Amino acid sequence: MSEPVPTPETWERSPATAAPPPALVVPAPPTIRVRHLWHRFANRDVLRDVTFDVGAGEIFGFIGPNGAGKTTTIRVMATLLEPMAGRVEIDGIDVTLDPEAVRKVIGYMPDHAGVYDRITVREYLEFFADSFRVPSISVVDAVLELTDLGKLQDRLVAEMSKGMKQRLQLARILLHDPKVLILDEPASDLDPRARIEIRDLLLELRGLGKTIFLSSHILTELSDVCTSIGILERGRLVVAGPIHEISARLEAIRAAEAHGHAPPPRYVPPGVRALVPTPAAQGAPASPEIAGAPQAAPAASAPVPATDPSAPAAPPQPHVPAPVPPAPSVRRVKLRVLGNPEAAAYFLRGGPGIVEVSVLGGVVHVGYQGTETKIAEMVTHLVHRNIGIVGVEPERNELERIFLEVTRGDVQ
Amino acid sequence: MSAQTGTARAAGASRLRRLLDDPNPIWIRELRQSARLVRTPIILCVLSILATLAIASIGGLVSINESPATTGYVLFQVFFSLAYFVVTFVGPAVAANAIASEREGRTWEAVILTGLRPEVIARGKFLAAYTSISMYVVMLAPVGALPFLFGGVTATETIVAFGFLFLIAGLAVAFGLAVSSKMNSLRAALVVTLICAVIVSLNVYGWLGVGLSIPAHRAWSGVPDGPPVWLPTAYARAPFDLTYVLCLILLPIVATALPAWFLYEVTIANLTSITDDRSTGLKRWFLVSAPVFALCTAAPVAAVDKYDETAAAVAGICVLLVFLMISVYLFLGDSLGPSRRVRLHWDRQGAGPLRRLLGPGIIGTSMMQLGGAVVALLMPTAAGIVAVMNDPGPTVKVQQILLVLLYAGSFYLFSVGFGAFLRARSSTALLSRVLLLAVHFLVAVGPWIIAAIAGIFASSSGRGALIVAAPSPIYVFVALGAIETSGEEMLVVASVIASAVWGLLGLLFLTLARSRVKGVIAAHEAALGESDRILAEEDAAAVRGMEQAAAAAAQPAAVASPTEPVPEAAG
Repeated sequence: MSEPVPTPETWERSPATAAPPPALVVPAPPTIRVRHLWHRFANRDVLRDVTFDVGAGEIFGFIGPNGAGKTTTIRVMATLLEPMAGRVEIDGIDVTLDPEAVRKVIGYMPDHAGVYDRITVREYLEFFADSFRVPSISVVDAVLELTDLGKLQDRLVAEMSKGMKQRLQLARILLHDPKVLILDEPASDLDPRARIEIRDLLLELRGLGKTIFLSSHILTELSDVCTSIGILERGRLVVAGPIHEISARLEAIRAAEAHGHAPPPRYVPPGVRALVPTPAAQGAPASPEIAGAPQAAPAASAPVPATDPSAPAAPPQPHVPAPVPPAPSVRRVKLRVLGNPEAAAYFLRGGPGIVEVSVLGGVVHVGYQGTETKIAEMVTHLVHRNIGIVGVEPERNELERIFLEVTRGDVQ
Repeated sequence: MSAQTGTARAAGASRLRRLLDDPNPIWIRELRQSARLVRTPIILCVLSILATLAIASIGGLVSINESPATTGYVLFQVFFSLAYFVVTFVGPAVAANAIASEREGRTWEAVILTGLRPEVIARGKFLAAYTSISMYVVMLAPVGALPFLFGGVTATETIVAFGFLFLIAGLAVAFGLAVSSKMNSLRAALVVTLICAVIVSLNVYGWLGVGLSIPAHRAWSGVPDGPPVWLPTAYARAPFDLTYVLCLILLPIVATALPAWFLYEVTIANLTSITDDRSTGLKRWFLVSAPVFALCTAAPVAAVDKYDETAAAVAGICVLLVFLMISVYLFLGDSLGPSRRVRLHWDRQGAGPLRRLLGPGIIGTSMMQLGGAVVALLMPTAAGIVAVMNDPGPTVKVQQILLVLLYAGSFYLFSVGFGAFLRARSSTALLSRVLLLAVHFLVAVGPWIIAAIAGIFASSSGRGALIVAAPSPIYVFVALGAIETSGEEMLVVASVIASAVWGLLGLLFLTLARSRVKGVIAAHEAALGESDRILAEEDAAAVRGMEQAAAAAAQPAAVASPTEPVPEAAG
């Protein structure tokens, strides 16, 4: 028998929430704090009230279609662009007020950055070591070793592959041992091997305690490395937080809608109130029905009902850390069968972990909980009942699914 | 500590030692890059061979009919003229490549984010470009020794000429760097720099070279008139006296130091963020250079004949006005007021009122310009009046000088006030500059065009009708003539009225600009204050929320604990 899909109502009564509240842990201040960020180029708002936090030691994936405002946000964080409104703090330092101090704690790798071609790898790093005022020459050796560029240290930069140049860029931004790494499309234009190497390097850097903020279009890769994500669309942050938490929230919404409940209220980051004209005044369509942000600490993230931006008298909603109910993630698979698909659906319904089964256009759509072995079990089950399987199409990657669900595909 | 050179900075070492042990990182990196550029030695060799062939050919041709000494002097002139053009064309082009290429190659942001100050970047880029152009001069140096084979020039002249070549190379590089610092495109930087370099270098060659050789010949008979490279000859042949010190030591120092300082400050300002302090350096330069320039314009009054004193004073005021007008355009790039960041830095560093006055802010800048202009304009005026006081009939001459001063001062006041008003109203400095230039053009030329269209120049009313051109600053020369002529008092009165109107308009625009700037800054501060308030409220609410959650978590535990059986007691 299929278990009932948990809804927000059932969560309220679930043992998980009925249990004594966990001991309150004072969350560490976020390393990156972006609050009510607005920016405009000419007459176009490229960032609209973007608010999110990134905790220490996180790998935060910043996702969005082209023109969504990712690079603008990153350039503001990197002190290369001044915001028109809002505040961005890196390690507690305001990027607008003290960019010099911020530059000491960040390492920024821009998208398609250039390199000096007519010097060797070592000379390149030595130049930046001097520019960063790195106190010891041994730092260059350490960074060469960390990024595995030691063997190439005497090679001219011009003779390096694109992947190696990206690696060199990464080495450059590690020279002054920054707390925060800001990477704009670090794996763009790289071949699969170089991407894997960069990914592994990022995981290694996270292990060294770095907070990593990266934007990318390659969602599968982000899902491998990121602990949290933020999705930006048309300059507005539509969702942010740990991936599993966002996934759980989406499931809750889907379940609520499937049971005929109104969707939960729009989620916004704590205390969000527009500092500049409201979305309606900007003529922007309302964002998808969820929007959240990681709170002071990722574990403490929780959606908070939106305040009315048009009501200035309303005090900002305080953020009360609350435990997130464990939401079983429902995955989907499409099965193409020989013969009658209704028969296949009949055999699958009620199976262990099978949440829902439907037939659409001759294809059996199955919602299930568990790992991919469940698909193998389904196939075996059907084959044993003499139903031939001609195609199995698992659902998209979880991050891709979230992305597609919360964005509308609009491009500015 | 320098990773590039592998040297460590010794504590307490001298400035030179520190410079050698810890050199500018950009300079060292660019040297390493240049060393791997294959085309540089080829270009240098080709240039040297061509220069040698040219000098040898010219020497051969000249020596057919002229004495060896003349041939040597001609070769000296030809070589240093060629070297001058190489330096003034190649130097800016090399420097133009410096920053624009980094911006275009997308390496600039990486450099900026290292935390290197704009001054360090500018110096590194300058040193790199200067080293490059110096290599050209050094490669050409053996060719410069060819005139010695013929005689006619001394070693001192040649050494001084090379010294000036290096000096001019420095200015040329600084100019290219200043242009490059403003440009994002390498091609645009090269085109603009080369066009400007060609125009400037040809003019300098013509006016300061050939042109100044004639008065130099009058002052020192040993210096021949006509040859453009006369300055080294003057150093070698002029008698050492006060004129020598003033004209051959002080004046060249001022003539190179002030432009070099200006170009350095412009480069730094262009490399500095718009919300940082881009003003202080340029204002310091103005406050020093305005009186120095005024002194230079006043000095000829003492040197010219009695009959030319008034003309020299008037010319001095006019040249000074041109300088001051250029400064008006320069300072239109200033921001309306200091940003929060600048104020924060001032507070941290305990900046005094003078430093704050020299900081960003268009109204403060306007006041500083007016103060500097008053001091500067008084110098040639005072020099002129003192000079003509002993002449017969000094009243007319004094009136003439004062009228020019009045017109220059009032028109400058109008320009400063209107410029500040435009800056306060428009969103960009470029727009303000274009609008001010258009107004200046219309004011200067417009009345004359109207007069020409109306046929006043050919009418029977004659000069009296020129009164319609009184708003134009050029009209002051009509008024100067009218002072000396009886029956043309109206022309003089018109010029005084026009001056007064320009002055009043300047004050009016300055007042309007001030109120506008105050309003904009107040609105900006209010918006920032509101942002801060909202963000602080959010922070406070978050803290309250966490405190409430902590209290809620602690309460059940506190209530439950007394009723719970103590394990030991239960046992």
